[in-house]
Amino acid sequence: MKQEDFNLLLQKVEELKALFVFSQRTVPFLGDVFNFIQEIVPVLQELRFSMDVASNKIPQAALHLNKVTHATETASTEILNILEKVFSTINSLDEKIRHRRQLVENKRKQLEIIENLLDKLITRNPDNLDIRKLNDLWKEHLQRENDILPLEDLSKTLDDIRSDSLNIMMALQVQDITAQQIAAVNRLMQAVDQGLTRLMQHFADVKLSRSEDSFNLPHLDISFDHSAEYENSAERQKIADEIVSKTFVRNKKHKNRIR
Amino acid sequence: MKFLVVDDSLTMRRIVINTLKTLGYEQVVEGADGKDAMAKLMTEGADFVITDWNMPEMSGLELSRWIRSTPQFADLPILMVTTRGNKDDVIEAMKARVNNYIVKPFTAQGLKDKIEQIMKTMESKTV
Repeated sequence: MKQEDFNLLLQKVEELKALFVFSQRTVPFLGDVFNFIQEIVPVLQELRFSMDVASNKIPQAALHLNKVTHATETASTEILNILEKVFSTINSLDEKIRHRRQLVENKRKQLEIIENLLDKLITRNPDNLDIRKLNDLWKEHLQRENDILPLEDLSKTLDDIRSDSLNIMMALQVQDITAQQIAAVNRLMQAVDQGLTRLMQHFADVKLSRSEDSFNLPHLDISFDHSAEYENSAERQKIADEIVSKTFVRNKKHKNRIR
Repeated sequence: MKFLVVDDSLTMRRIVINTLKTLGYEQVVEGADGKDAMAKLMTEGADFVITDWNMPEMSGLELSRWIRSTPQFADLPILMVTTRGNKDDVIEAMKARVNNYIVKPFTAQGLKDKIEQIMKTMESKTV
């Protein structure tokens, strides 16, 4: 053997020694990695199972929410049907009251004439008992007429009913707002479902155990405002009014400058 | 005066239409979204537009922009009626040149006030 061969042999031995030293250091680490993998596999299997189950339940939840939207829409429609009848009845009664008011006014004029005539009769025949009795009966009759509920009170009552009915109708805006809130939830669930489906695909060839059309439901595809709220919107309206007002002032100034 | 009421929610359309009737406005045309509203304007016309924002096919904002860019409808009063109540939304609507803005849920009085405000502004422009 030549000197170079010895040198090469020594070099190779050094390399081998370095390799053994490296292995000595990494073996414990590899042991930890293998232990970790052994522990994580059952967890991943459980995760896969849970995701599969969740993925099946999400479309069911969407379907239930869809039913809620449909039910509130149906109920709102029924309430609106009744309210429209109420408004129509109120308008009809209003018209009758107006007509009645005219008749009452005509009657009042006639009563005035009769009263004046009776006063003249009494003045001309102060001692006639029959005329006095007629006058007393007439006054009683007038009193009874005045005790009948005045038309103004009836009119006021109808106005109150109309106002309350209108307030009920305005409260039905809750249906539109909740439908948007539900649509926002459904969209979120759809996104989660899509994410889960993508993850499931990492678990080798996994076939979805439900139809791909599960999310293709009516009422799920409505346009919505994700921040829709049913709360007294006075504060939000105030913000809108301020901006609208500023815009008008700005536009007016701009037009004046042009002139 | 003929109103065009645009909203993809049938409930909301009925609410607005009934409110208009109690205010004495009987002539109303309905649109279920922006595209439907465009068609109704072309075929039946209107003097005042009340529109929702979030609608399929074409939003209320897009409808407003189309109205303002179409010469025969450019001066139509537009009232935006929407759940969107944050500042940026209102600014965006004003940029689309809607005349006024009302946030849902609104009251009948609130709707009346906005309509009257717009009409007053339109009248002062023609004087």
